[in-house]
Amino acid sequence: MNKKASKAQKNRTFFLSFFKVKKNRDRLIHLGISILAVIIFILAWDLYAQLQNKPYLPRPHMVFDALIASFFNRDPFSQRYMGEHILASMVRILYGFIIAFILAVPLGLLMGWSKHVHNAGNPIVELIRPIPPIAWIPFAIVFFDEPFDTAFIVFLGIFFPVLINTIFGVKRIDPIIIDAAKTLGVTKRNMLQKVIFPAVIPTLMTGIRIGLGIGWMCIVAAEMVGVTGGGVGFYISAMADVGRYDDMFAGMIVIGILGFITVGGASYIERRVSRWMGMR
Amino acid sequence: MDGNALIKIEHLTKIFDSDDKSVSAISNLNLTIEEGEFITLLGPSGCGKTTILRLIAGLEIPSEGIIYERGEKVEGPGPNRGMVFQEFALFPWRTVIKNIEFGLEIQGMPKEKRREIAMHYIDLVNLEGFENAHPNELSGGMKQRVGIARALANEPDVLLMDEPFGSLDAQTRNIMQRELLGIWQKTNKTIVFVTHSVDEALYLSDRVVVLTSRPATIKKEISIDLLRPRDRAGKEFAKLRHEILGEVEEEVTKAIASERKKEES
Amino acid sequence: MKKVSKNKLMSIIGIVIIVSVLLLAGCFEEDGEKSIKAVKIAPKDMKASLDSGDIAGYVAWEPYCSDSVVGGVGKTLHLSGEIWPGHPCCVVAVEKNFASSNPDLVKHFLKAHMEATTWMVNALADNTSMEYSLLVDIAVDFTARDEAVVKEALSHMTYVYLLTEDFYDGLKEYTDKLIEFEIVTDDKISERGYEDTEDFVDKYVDETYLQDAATVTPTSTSLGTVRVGYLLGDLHQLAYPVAKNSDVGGGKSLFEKYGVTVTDASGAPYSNGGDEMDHFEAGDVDMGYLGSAPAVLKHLNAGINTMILAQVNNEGSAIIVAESIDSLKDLRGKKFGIPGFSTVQYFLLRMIAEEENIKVST
Ligand SMILES: Nc1ncnc2c1ncn2[C@@H]1O[C@H](COP(=O)(O)OP(=O)(O)OP(=O)(O)O)[C@@H](O)[C@H]1O
Ligand SMILES: [Mg+2]
Repeated sequence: MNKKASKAQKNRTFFLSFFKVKKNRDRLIHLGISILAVIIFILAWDLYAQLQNKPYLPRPHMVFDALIASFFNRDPFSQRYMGEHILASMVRILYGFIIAFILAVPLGLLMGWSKHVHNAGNPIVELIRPIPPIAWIPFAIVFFDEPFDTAFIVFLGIFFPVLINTIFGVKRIDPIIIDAAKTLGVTKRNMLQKVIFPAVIPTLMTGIRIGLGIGWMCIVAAEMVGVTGGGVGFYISAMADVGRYDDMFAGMIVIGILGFITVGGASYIERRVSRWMGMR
Repeated sequence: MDGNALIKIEHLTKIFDSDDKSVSAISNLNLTIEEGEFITLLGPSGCGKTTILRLIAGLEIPSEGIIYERGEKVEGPGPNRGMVFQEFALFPWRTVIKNIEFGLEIQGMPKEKRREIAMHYIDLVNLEGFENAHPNELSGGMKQRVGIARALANEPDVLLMDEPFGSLDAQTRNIMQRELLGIWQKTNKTIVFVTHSVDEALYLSDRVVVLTSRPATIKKEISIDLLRPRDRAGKEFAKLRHEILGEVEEEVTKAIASERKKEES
Repeated sequence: MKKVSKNKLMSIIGIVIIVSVLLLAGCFEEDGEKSIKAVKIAPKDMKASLDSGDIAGYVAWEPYCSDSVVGGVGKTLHLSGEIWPGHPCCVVAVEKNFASSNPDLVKHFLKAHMEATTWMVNALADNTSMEYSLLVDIAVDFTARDEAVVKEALSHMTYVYLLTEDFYDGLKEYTDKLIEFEIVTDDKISERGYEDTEDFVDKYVDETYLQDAATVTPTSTSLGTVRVGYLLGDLHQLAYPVAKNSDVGGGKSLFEKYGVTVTDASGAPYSNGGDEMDHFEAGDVDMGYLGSAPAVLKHLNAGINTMILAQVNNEGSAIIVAESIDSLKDLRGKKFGIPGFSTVQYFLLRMIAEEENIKVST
């Protein structure tokens, strides 16, 4: 490495470290505001619950106790720990997600790339897309066996955002990049793999993030209707059934946290991948 | 056919047909480009320069006429005609070195070998130390160095350069022009260069082809026999500049007039 | 170079985690094989679910049991009386504040209920009587099942309004069991202000209204309106449509006879007793017909302000299974329909399963 280059390298690292310091301080402030807002929210909830004094609106500490207890005691209906319910829900989401991903990405690439495939696929997609996944529950319960009945609902929730974002991502690719690839010897056959797919990854990740959020909504709704094998959605509905509202809220909070972690994780990965790929 | 003609363009015509109108971009253009030549296509903005390059590259299909490369009809894009774009057109998800390796990777060359070749071109375009940077971390000049190295790594017969320095500042532009000449001399490549800067054309080329306003045909061909490195402030340079500027300005005026006429009608 | 291998490593780790999670989940599934998998299904859908093979059996109230038997879709594995003889079932419950501010109205309502129940018992005693065929007509109308199903179902019914000693014992046994099953935590008894389960049953069941109702006489003045909660097509609660029927009272319904105006509570009929308790809490229901199980369970767990005033029926539920099932053991690893986790039907399943040492999960 010659002198000029190493100097440039140095310049780069200096530049980055400067940003880091400023960023860390900003981050601390942002985090502080967020934590404060959560505390205020919990206090307001507690106050309101005390004023209402109704079992169906338990106070935060009761919900917290129920939440902790749920991890160490089996529930009386399915004899499962909360950990097992979480696992059951996650497995369903995972199945739905994997199947949605495997189908939506290639289909999205093709629909974005080829007018004919788009013309063929679009009316069907646009007809099915507005149907809320939850509307498919009665069908799914009869048509599929556990865990694919619930996974199917999740699949529907994730499939469309991933598909639409993939199509959008392909259409958004600068045509000049395609031309450049052609002059570099890329043929029709490896264009998808070498150019279209990598170019689409950041938009695709956005689709995944949105899809996972919808996935958690779907899984709870699906599990609340006649499901075997437990699941957090089941836990919520069973506890509501017998009037144990503190446990019900505990289940709801579990869903909230899981959704937050999954979507937060996905958006972290999304940012990391975009940055790592040098896009955005 | 001429023995050392690399590219031969015969009766080239290009008409863009869209739903509501048809634009005639090139009309009956004939041109022969010699092996190893640095030729510049010079013309007013919008006259069809890019279209000619894209036709040579095989990215567009002629409406009429034929383009030969080494006696063979051009029927689509291929790695033996490398292109450098004004907008750089780098792959943003690939690092500098992976951008440069791209063509070799497509050919299926083993990893170590293409690394070696890519490093050679990184050296040639002075990008040492930036191998693993992504395009969005680079300045415009550096991006275009990657663009040039990427096109060269495929070892094409001809390098088609469409206003490659058009978006760079004047200083960088001058540096890049000088370096390009160095690269050209080292690699003995044929270069077809497009610009609307008379100065740039004069500084770089063996031959300047002045194009008419749209639809483009050849207005005048001028051989530049000045020794390199050329002195932009020199007398000969100034004389040639004056001559070519006259030709170009005539076309610019025509172009503006025809625009006006269109607006009026 | 380093970067690439790190990313590869990350993706390998990711895939390993995903696969192991899926495999792990498979192991838990194994465990579930040995237990009966209870799933919540609306009773009206149970016959179709059994027919389609989605479930291997179910437990429900009449007429949803006889519906499958008469329709040839399933057979009776256990009548509820075999599982727990004379077990308490449906009751008349009241919102406490409503009772204390309208005691007279409540007593007149109960009088109509008593008379309707007595009329039904008499009608059922002679199935050649005019009253019997009127009862069948009312039941067909109320349950939307055909006559054969209704007649079969009626033969399993015992209508009773009295708060008998057995009822008190049954309710206490039930409450103790709920605590044993941990569906109700034992601290809930004291939280609601009771000393123990016996004290709870004594206080939660108030027989003074029923005793006073015995002396109530017909009246031509209107005493007020009661918003009544009841379940969808539940044959147990037939006393309600009977007391509303003008043919039974000879031109005037029994409610009218005692100066009571009734309207269906908002959202009624409900799909299970738990639902109805929620509507009590929401202030939609003044008095209601519902299972004693949800009335107890949701009062204890959620503090819903109700109490029990009279019985409506006992027994009258059954476990219905597909033809291929011959014992409870055959149900292990299979899906089994229940009306809800707060119902006496689910509780009956738990009782017999415990007796036969079979796990019930989901
Ligand atoms: N794909 C296309 N469809 C329709 N018209 C086109 C297309 N490409 C170019 N044109 C038209 O052809 C003419 C020549 O365009 P071209 O881009 O080749 O000009 P140019 O000389 O490169 O201009 P500039 O100096 O702006 O780069 C223009 O009028 C342009 O609008
Ligand atoms: Mg151009």
